[in-house]
Amino acid sequence: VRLFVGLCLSLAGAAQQAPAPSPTEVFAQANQAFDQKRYPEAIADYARLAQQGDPTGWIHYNLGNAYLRGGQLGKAVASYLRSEALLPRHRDLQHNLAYARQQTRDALGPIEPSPLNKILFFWHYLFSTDELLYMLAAVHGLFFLALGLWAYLPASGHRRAAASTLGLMWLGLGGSWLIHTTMPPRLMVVLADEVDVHSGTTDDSMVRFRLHEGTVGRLVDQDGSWLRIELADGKQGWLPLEEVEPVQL
Amino acid sequence: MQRYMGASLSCVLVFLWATAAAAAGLFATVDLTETTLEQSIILTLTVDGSQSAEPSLAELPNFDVRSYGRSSKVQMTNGHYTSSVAYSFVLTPKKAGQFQVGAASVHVDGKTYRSEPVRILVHAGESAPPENASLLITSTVSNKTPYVGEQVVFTWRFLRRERIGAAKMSQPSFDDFSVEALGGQQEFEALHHGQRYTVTEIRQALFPLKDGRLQIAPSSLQCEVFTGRRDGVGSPFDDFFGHGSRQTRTLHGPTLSLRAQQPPDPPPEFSGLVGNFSLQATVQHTKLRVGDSTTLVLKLTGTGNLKNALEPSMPPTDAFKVYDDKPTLEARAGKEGLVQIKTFRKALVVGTAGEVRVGPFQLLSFDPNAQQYQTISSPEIVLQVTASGEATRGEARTAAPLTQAPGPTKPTQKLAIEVLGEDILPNYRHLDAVRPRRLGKASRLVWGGIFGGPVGFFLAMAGLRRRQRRSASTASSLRRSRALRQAQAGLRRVGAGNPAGLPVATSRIVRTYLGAMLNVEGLWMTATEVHGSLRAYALPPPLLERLEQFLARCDSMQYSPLAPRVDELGQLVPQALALVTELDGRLR
Repeated sequence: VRLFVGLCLSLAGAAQQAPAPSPTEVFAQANQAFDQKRYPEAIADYARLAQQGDPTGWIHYNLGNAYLRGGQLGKAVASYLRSEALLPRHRDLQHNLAYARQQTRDALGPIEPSPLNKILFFWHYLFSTDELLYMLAAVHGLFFLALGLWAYLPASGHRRAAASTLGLMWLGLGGSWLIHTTMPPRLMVVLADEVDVHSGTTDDSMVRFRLHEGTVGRLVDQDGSWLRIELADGKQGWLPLEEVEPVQL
Repeated sequence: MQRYMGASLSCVLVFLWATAAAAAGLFATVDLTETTLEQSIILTLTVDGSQSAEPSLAELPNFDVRSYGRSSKVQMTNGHYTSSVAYSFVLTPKKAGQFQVGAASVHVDGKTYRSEPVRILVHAGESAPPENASLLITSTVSNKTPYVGEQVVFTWRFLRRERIGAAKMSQPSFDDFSVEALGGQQEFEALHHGQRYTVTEIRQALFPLKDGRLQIAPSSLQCEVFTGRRDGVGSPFDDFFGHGSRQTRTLHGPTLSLRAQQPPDPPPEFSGLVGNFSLQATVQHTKLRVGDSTTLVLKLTGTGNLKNALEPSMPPTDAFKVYDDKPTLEARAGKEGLVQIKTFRKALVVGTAGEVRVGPFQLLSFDPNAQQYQTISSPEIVLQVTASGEATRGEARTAAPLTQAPGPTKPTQKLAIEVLGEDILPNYRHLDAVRPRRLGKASRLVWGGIFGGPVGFFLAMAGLRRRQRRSASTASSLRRSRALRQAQAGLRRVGAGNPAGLPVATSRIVRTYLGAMLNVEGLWMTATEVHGSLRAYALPPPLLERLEQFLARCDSMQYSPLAPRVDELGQLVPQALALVTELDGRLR
């Protein structure tokens, strides 16, 4: 009997210690569930991958697709926005995000920086945080190499110009990377079918306007469970936190 | 600089003190004390003495309240600064009567200030009769007794004879209808009760969703009307100089009521479509081989609501497999209303040889004009299917006769590419999607190396350079100290020796010292060369002059046929010592 009990316990222990599926297996399961139109399962698996460590933009992209197919427009837009921060130039993502935006009811364009900023600081909007870091590393190496050589060798006009150019690039990329990492844009996506946007932080305050699922706004402030938002056309108001999904890019 | 900063700070402090010291208060004003249900008033709450405090307006159940912006003002009068912020609200009366508006409170520096409310009189309506009104809203429907699902054209018009701006329209409420836009907004001139108006027209196609009494809640439009001054003291130049006032007006359209009914005694196969419809079925190829696929297109066109229309039924068959595509819906606005086209596409893969019949397809709809049910159908399509080994699509597979010369190819008619549907692009399936985004646990070390390495290289190079400079500087300093010591010792020695050789010896010692200081061979330098070499060290001109004169005097004593005077010889060594000491202090 002891032997039997011991065997059972060891088998139970072995069962408990069965290794969790690897990210690759979860990814394959999620893809399969998506193909077989089992969207809740696909969403659960992709969301699991998205919560592990530092997920790639592709996980958020696939999660957005699964949410969209599963009829959760707001969540889909939020996932696409997270993916866009990591894959800022990917065409499939741009297409799907535009498609999701078409499904929203509110006639609002996307929140975009001013055209002048987009031209003057193009790299800030064109590259992801990771890409900026890689470029900063390259420019950093070249810049300090040039400074080192400049300190040792006699100065010349060409060396000075090269070091100045690299210095400007170093400052631009470094500043952009710092802004990306320390002051990322804070957005919110409406999850509810319809939500009232109030002039204050109480339910009985005046309803300024209504928003619908999938609409994106900029988070301006938070007061307890109320968020102050600003839309692309400049309208501002307060809405309850539970009706939206904040997106930290 | 510090003085300027102090002055600026004092100014700022004085300004802040003056601002803080300004008397706080809250005041309510309105632009009109009498109005009508169609005219809004502007309430302004002015907070004095604070730029940040926001007033809290009491509930106004008899008005629709809309924020109209905020403006702030800082003024200096008789040396006193005053600051105020004005919060404006547009109040639109909901009913006639006498009301009080503007009761509000604000907290400034721990104190609560309340405004005095203002009394407002709201009259029931405009004095002008509607047919002569300068601003007017009309709403009509094409049919007040439609069937459920039948199209009703709703026409909304805004007629005006005055100059307006900042118009904001609130759409009528179509709670019991499915709504489709019917073209864009139209602008035209028209006569109404003998008066010429500028008309803005919006048309919409409505489809009742249920039977019974249905109401279209009235629309409203808020706009600013440009007129002369409100106080009545108008001027012919008001408009020219833009001094005319603006009145905010709110207009309401009529409430429309319809009575919708269900089609009578609907048979079980009734599709739910009400209106006039036609059905068209086409296939891409009629001659196929077993296993080939062709696209079947079913186009359902009509005036009813096709948004949720189901596809026409298809007789079951084993002759082919059917793969459905997503249906598409197009809409076209016409004078008679909205015409919708719903297109169903199916891929047919034929599995048996011979004649394969597709269709006919049928739908049962209700025609409200004829007040009877009608069967819409498409003709049957016959596909010629051959076994997979046989030649098919005759003309394409027939070999060209050898005698026929290949002539110029006929230009084929180009077709515009039609977008049949939009959908999301597929998932990303490569496994790099689940790879870690950044470097793993070694990331800190690696990134530290990537960013620290170049900085280390720069610091090493800078340190090396500094060390070289320092060592060069040390050697030069040693050389100069040694030169001074040797010069002083040499001068004392010659001073105690034979006076006849003093000019030569003193000159040699001073020149050798200068050579050592300048790191050149100094013994053979002329007085002018010494002067030229020392010019780069920015020595004071009197010192240079004294040195040059001293060396010239030594040379003249040395080469002069006359013997130098004893007192001149006695001054040589003290002068040389003084020069060397002064030069050492300057050259270091």
